[in-house]
Parts: sequence; structure tokens; C-alpha cells
Amino acid sequence: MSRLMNEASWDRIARVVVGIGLVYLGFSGTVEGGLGTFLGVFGFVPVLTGVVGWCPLYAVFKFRTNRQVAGV
Amino acid sequence: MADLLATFVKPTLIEVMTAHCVECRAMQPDLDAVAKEHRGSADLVVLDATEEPDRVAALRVFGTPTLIAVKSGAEVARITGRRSRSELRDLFAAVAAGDASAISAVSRSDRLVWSVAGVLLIGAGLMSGPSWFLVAVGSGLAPYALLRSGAG
Repeated sequence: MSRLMNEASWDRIARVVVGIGLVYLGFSGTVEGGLGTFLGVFGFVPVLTGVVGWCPLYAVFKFRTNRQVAGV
Repeated sequence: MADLLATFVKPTLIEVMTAHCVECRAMQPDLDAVAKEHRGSADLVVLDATEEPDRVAALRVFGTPTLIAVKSGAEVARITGRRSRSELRDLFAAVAAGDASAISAVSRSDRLVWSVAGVLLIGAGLMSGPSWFLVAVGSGLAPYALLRSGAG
């Protein structure tokens, strides 16, 4: 029911910047072939997790970069 | 829902939360502190969705924490998700003034991240050929960053 977020703002922006950098490498043709396609597609993963503010891997390992809540 | 809200004559901020909601617990100290600052001009009413499911269902709340601004017995704005202390302070001031236009449905951090993502995607799209797909995705993020809260 609740909207969970486990990323701090700096973490989210870093993911967006890095992810869009990877997407650019794939889409611009700077990196060609299978690796370029891979970057163009999977670069969206950090972009998406940054935009949403929730990382599934953080959730699996019970890690978070935003403010910790006492008792959690 | 109208019957429930009609019981709030003074400007009121209704917080719908649950005890196990991490975001609610993180925001609660800030919310309590800001409510204390605005005592007299706006009230804070806390509804636990687990203990009062009927009242919460009547408010048509689908996520926690949800903050519903009520003025003269009518809902003027609602936002869902954790907000910073300064944002809560702005929210209380807007509720007391009855000015819902000052209340954003999107948190500042979301606006910042979505704006950065939108601008970078548009830039990357224009420099990649151009790739109109990236430009379109980037352009799609901007309207969400500008969302304002609405009643109901």
C-alpha cells in the first residue's frame, strides 16, 4: 500500500546520469554491435530505478541510501 | 466522503498512515514538529488505515502516507508519499491559507530527478542521430514534474 523509496536524491540522480550515458553510447553508435545494443537497452534500468526511487537489489539486501528509520 | 470531511470545520491536514509503513514513520517526526508550529491555524488529524479501514476507505486512499488538505469541510488537495520538513511547512501554510494552487503533487526530489532525466534524455536523443524515441521519452517526463495536486 505504501510508496516505498530506498534511494537518496544523489543516488537517484547518479543512476539517471550514468544510465542515460549508457543509453547514449548505445543509441549514438559510439559503441557498436551487440554491446551497443545491450547498453541501449539495459541503460534504461538505472534510469528507471532512479526515476522511481526504488532499487529492487537494495530491497533484496535490505540496503538503502535515503534516511534510515529507527527500528527498521 | 463528504460527510466525513464536513466534520472538519477548521483548516485540517488529514494524514492517512499505517504503523508498519516505513515512509510514514520516517515522516512522522517532521509532521508532528510542523503541526506544532502551526497549532491554531491548522489541525493535524492522523488516521491509521489498519485501525480505521472504513474511514480511510471512505476517503478513497490507495497509498500511505497520504496527506489530505481540508478547508471548510471540503478537500482542496491531496498528496501521497513522504515529504521533507520544509515541504510540510509549505503544505501547512497552504492549508491554513486555503490556497491549494501552492501545493505540488510531486515532491521536490521527484521534480529534480525527473527534470534532470527529461533534459538529459532529450539531449542524448538530439545528439544520437537524432533519436526521436529518446526525445519522446524525455519529453514525457517533464509534464509529470509539473503536476499540481488536485482535489478528489
